[in-house]
Amino acid sequence: MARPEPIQADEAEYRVKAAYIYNFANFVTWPVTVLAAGEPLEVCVLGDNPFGGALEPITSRTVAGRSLRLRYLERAESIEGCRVLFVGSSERYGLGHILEQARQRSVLTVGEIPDFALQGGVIGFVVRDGKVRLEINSRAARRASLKISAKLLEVATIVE
Amino acid sequence: MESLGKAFRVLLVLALPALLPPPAKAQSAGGMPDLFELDLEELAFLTVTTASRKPEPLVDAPAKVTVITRQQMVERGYLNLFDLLRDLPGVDTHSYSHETTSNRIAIRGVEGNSRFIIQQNGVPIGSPAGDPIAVADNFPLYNALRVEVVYGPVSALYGADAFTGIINIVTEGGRENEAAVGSFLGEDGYRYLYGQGNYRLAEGLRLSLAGHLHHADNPDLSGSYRDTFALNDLVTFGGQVAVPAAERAGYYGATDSHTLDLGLQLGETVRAGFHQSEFSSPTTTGMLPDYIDYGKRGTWTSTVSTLHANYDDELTPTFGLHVLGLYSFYQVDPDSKFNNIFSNFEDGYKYAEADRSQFDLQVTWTPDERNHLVLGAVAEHFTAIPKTTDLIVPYDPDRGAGEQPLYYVGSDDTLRARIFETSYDNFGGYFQYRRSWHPQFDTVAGARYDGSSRYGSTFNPRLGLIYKPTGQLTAKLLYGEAFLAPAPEFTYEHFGAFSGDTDSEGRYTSGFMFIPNPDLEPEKIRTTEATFSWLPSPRFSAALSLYHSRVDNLIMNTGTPEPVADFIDGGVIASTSHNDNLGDLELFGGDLELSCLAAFGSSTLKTWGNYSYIDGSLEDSVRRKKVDLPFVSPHKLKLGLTYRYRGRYYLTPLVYWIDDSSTDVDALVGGGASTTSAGSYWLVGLRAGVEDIIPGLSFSLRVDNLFDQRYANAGTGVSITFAESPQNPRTVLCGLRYAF
Repeated sequence: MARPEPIQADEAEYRVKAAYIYNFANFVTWPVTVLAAGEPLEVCVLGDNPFGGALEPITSRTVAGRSLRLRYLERAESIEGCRVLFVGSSERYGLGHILEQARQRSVLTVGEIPDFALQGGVIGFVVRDGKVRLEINSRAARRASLKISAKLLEVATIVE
Repeated sequence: MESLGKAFRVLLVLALPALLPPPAKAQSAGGMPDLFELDLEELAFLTVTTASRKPEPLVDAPAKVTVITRQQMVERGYLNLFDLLRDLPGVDTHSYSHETTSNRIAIRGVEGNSRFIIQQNGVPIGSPAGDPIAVADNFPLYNALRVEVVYGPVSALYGADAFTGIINIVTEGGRENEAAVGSFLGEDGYRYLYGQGNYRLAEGLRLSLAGHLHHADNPDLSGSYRDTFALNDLVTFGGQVAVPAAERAGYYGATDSHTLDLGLQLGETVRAGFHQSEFSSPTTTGMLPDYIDYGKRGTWTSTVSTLHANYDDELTPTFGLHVLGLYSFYQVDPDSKFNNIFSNFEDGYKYAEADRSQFDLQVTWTPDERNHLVLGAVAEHFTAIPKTTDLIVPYDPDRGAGEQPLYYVGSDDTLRARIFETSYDNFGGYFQYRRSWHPQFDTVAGARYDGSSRYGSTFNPRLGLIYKPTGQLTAKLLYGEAFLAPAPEFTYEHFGAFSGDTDSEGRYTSGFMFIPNPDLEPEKIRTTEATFSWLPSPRFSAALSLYHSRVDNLIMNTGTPEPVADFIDGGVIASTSHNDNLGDLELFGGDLELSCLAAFGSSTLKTWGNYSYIDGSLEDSVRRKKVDLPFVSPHKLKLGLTYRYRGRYYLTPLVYWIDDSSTDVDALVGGGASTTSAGSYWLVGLRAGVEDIIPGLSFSLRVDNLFDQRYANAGTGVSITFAESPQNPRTVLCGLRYAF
């Protein structure tokens, strides 16, 4: 599996974001029709990869009894099978199309494009006061048939 | 305490793995910190940018703070700090308003470009001794990540001249190994080029470079305001025609600027930098065309260069040490000159310079999450050659002030011009203690003492109550004092000429001279303020500020009690004036701000607006006259809307309604101007852009005065200057930026 070269040098920020993504698997529930018990959970990065290798360690971990896989995508059409989709900043032009594709497949969309959650993404990263904060669009989560735990909602700002 | 413990634990994981034993939980087999073991709350504590490691982020200050983000600057088309300030609540801006600073800025009713401090990354980059300078393209924003504006007097922390606020342009923290170049081109010869880059030279060593060059012919106002700029004969005070109308050169309004910025960061604790900014504008700015000669191309060019080194370190989890060493130099180009009726339409050169050497030491102590103490000490040394009188040849900076072969006009090269020099020191000490009594309630108390060898001592306290009844609502009740050090330019202001005639004792005679006043004292401001901010959702925010300020000892010019006839040896002067602490100003104001966000489909819509009201008066304690606040509109409405489509295209219309602005100083000094205010006006601007046309390439469009209206800003309004200074017609600029 070819891994795109990192384009973002701020290592600390993306290590934190990678850890958040790993944690999301603990606090989001997918419909059993798309993610059966014990089935591996696939995390995908679409477009520019700002993480470098920061996400790689998740492939040696399990969460809630599931193993984790990591896949890098160049096209939105390849999201079949993804359960968590990080949308790179390079994809902001076609964001509406990507989010619609993801919604139909109950994919948890995560991004750092400005106003990502306001634009219909489920979880947006924002750096505020030097810390990585979360913005959650709970309506987008519902539309994608995703259940977000109260614990995750508690540490985030709900934008919709 | 539990949450603080978590914070420390994860900070250690992130920042100090090599120095302190990290918690076992957060240590992977490979010895590297393992953030995957942290839970959501712990992750939320992690600090990921250097900005928040600074000792006292301005956004935490007990004050009203406005932060303008990079995205907002782009969407609203801000090229420089003046553009940004024009959109803020409580701020009055006037273009083409002053012959040396070009523009004027008033914050919350108090006008003066030197009455607030401008910083870059926390380092002062403005005039070192308080000489007023332009706030224009010499403070560009092409490399700014955000701009923090703190309203109100904050001398309790920042010392002299933190009178109406602090403005901090943050450029640090950009992506490594990324560079950008860009340009703006527009009508009327507008040419602007810039470049910037951040590079990692080696592990722990970062270099940042930035700079710009700008030239603009600017709109020919005589084409837009034909009657106002009609060219008549230039006639001297003696009634002689110096330049016949037919031979007069046309309007001239070119401006130039450049900046250069170099920064080095070594690890997380040491940074050093050099910053230089220069701005040049015509000395005919804001002056009535009957009294100036455009053909002489008189310009005023001032440069500020700042060299600094900082050391910021968290010595222990509770103690922080912050050290700043700074050298700043201000110089007016010796070729700067006036050519007007006062100089008999001959070139009258001016010169000024000032420098400041400064050493700051600050210690912070945070024993727990409820207590935060800041202690600091400052030592400053200043030297200055204050703005000279009119000189018939340029000042030679390579010679001493006493060695200049310069003589007063009208003295047959016999009376040597008096050039002043001054040198003085300031020592200050301050503290600020912040206590969190309850998760919803904080108090702040602080004070600073400054002792100056030139103007004596000052004491400036600061108090604040911060109440957060809910996560959405914050209320602050604040009191602060500040002082404005009398700049050498005001203390030693001196100009005038001799008539060329002698009296019976052979002394050259002069009808008038403006002379120094070494006894000038600091101005003082006291402000009480209540601010409320309400953020019920990320889509909506509202803020209200109400404030009352009183300014004492405002520096104004007045006649000396008795003429100082023998101020110049060998001459006799009929009347003399100087600057004195005469003005008392009292005002009450309020700012209301609203903003909201909406998203639908692939579009977002951001709207914002602010309305400012202010009422007050300026009283001259000697002449016992009271006038409206100079250069301040009682009502200001500023609205904007940004529509962004697919994250890539944006369109931003801006609308301003500004009420009358007084120039009533004329009523105090008896200039006899027929107009004492600039009328109200509506103005519409438009910004648009496309980002990432190809990766990294962006295009922007900026249209000012979209409907090509004719309107005026307040000018000096005395004698030979505009009270209503005509403003630019519609102007169009296009920008390209390529980041790589």
